[in-house]
Amino acid sequence: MGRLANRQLEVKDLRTYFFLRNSVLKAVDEVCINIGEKEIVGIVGESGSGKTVTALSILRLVPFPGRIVTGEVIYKGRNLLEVEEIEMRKIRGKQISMVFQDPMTFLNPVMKVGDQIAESIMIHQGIEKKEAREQAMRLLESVLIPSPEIIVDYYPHQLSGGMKQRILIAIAISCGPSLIIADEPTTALDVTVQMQILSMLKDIKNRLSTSILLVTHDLGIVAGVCDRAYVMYAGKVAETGRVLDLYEDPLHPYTRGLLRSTLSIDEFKEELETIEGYVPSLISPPTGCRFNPRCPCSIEICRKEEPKLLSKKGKGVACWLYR
Amino acid sequence: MLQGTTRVSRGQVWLKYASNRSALLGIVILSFFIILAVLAPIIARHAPFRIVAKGLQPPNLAYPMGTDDLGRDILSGFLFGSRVSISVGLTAALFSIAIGILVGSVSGFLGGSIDDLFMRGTDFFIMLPRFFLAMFLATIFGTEIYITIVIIGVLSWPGTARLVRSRFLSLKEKEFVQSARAIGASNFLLIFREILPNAISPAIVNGSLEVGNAILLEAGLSFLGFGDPNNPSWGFMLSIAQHFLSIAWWMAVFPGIGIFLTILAANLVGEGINEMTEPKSREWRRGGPIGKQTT
Amino acid sequence: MEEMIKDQDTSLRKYVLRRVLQAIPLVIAVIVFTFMMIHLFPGDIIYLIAGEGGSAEYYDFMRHAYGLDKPIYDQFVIYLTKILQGDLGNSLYFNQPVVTVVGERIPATLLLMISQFTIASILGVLLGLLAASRPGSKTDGSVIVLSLFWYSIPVFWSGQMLLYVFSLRLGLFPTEGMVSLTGDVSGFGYVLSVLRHLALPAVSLALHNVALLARVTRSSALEALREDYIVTALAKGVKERTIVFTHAFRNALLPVTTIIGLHLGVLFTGAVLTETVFSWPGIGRLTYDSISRRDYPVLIGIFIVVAVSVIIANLLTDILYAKLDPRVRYK
Repeated sequence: MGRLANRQLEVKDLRTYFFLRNSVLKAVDEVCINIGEKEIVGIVGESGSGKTVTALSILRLVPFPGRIVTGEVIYKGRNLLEVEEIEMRKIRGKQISMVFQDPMTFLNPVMKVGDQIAESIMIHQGIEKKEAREQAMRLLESVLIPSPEIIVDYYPHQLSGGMKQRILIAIAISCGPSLIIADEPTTALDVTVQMQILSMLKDIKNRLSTSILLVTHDLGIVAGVCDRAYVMYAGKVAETGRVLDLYEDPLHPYTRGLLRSTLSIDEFKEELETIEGYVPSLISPPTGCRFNPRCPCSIEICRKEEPKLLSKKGKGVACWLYR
Repeated sequence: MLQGTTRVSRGQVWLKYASNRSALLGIVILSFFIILAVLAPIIARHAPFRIVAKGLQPPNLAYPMGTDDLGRDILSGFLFGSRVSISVGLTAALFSIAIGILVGSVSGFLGGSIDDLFMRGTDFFIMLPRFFLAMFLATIFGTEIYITIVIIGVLSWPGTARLVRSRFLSLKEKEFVQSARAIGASNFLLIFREILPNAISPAIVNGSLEVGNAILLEAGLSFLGFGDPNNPSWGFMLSIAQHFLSIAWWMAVFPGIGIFLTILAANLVGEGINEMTEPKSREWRRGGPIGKQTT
Repeated sequence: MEEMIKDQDTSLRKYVLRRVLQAIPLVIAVIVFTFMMIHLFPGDIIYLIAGEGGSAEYYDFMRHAYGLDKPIYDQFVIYLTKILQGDLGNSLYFNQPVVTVVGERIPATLLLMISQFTIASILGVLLGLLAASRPGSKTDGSVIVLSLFWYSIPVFWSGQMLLYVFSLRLGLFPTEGMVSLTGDVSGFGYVLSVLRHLALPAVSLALHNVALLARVTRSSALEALREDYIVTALAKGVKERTIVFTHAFRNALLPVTTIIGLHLGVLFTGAVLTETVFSWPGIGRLTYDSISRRDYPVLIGIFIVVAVSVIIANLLTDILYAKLDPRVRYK
């Protein structure tokens, strides 16, 4: 259930709902996440599982019409959900920063990349523009961008996808955060470049002692990079534990289904294994366990009551099979 | 009230509501003037260009909008002037929507050199200053009211054509068109059944805005002296009023209000439709807990 | 890992050159169009050139001078050459070349246009950004309503109303002209006098353009604020004001510039109409007078001058756009 000592971040019973015209979409429903020091924690799930909204909720960047209804986000002894917005701005980009998915659209096309990095530095460290530019160049070097003194004046469209993503990473590490949230940082990139970015993230964790919360749908990435992971389904955490434990002995039927379908691709099986059915509506989710309509092992109680996340075999799992 | 709806979302709801209402208001005002225009010969107490009383009378019971320098009833002039503005406006809307959709859809759909040709021509006319172009054409072809209406109509469709064309271009590649094509739908069907319904909305919005442009254009032309003295419009009345501004403010105020209200109405309709068909929410700020300020 | 080290200056220079070259056929097209329209005149074309009420010998003389007895292609060549040499004919009223008559009055119109546009753009853009920074708020609502309102008021009517209230009734501003006839002809007193005369016409025009720009800036800024890079900025901890007035603004400016380019003709039109109301000695006043005097060469000349000016202004706007958008500058 996560190391008890030295928790960086603790998300408790987070509920983030989207208030639509006539209905409420429960994107994140009672989710608990823990992140320790110097570890890479993954949140895995399909689209619509609530993983991105969870990540955004930590920094209070939930898009309209979403709001965080209840819960706590404990960071350095404070509940971030009770802090004033002004305080929050001091935390964003400095203590907790974020790397986003598509570097093409997440960089301002009319600003030089060096300026976009320097902006962070100037805001949080009160440094003058010239000095900040110098630091930006050094950051470019640290993310392995060649000829930083030239690239610093470049505009995003002049760079390749991999380089742009490294700019986003440079922005994220610029003020020495203790936690970086990365939302699908490699999804928009070529496979070869993906590996570079992921190893860079691992490097950052080691060298800068930064924890990373990695949101992804790719089980392969989780296996390759994360220490621990949370498997999310329909706004709830289904299972969590150390990655090796999860992959070797998945408890939740959903996790098993995910792993099976991924492996069937890798093993070139004749028939791809899938999980039957579709991701449920988050406006009116199924009663009881949200996975029950698609679950091959569901029993009576699964349709009636929601299972709580309990400890089992060193992992956390929310399933009636493990009472 | 749903728990958790915030001040922010109330603003969004208000905007949608207000835009529906404003479009409605615009339609009401325009209808009012259309009725006025149609019934003018019946309602007007005097012939608009007949000298009926002492000149330069301020608004009074007999002449609610006063009389002009020659002693003509301004109210009657106002009523007949509305006919000019309404005809100009409606013709422009018609031309702009009909020809604009025709040219735009054919051009956008066929693409290639035909598209090139059409767009070159359209861009040429969009670029030229409309007012001066109208003036030039009026110099050549005359200032009779029918000629003015045609000129203004002809100048109103290039903008719409361009909009419809870009819609067509973007829709052409979308999935539902591809699937229709895969089933074997003919070009004709494709245009009319699949793409056109989606391409019409910018034409309607622009058409309404063109009504305002057209009325303004006609008023401006008349104001400078390109009006038809046999069919005096509000602009024409304003040009006369200019000379008597210091002693007869009513000569300028009423025709001006007429022009203003009709243009306002056209713009309300156009903007209102625009807001209604635009589904995106305006709220870009991001937030967190309920009760805490957004970014 | 290669980087494309581009010679950035060359890229911009090439773009400018390309646009200039594209403008030339447009100018020719205007001349062709004018020629075509003139020849569609339902009467005898000679009246457009030489006016009415001339003697038969005069007309014959003019016909020969303008080659109207020659085949149409030759006529066009003569026409084109004359225009490219700056000969737009002679004003019937002033008995001077049209270029002189028009040229003398352009500076006054430019003064009016530039002064009101400067104020209008700064104010309009600020209001638009302000509205976009708080969507759905009262500020936003008022900007939307007010700009719709002012945008619908015909510029010449608002000019008349302003003239009536502030000049004729309250006597705060002069009623006509650019400068008072008595008083200083140079120096500070002169400038002050011009400013006093400029105030009302500039304000009536500026109100209209502020409304237009506020509306356009607002929607353009809202589009920009919906983009992903704004979230990156938020995640960096950037203040809301900086986000709107720097990050979004610089992107929103691009469509606004394009729209201004499309509206240049309207800007001219507004100036022309306002000049008539305030007897401002520019092209507008000239147009009005020439209509009543039936000075056709001047009217046709004004059309050509304004059309070409708009083409040039469009060119400048495009270059401005290229300067603002690095994606155009550095390929």
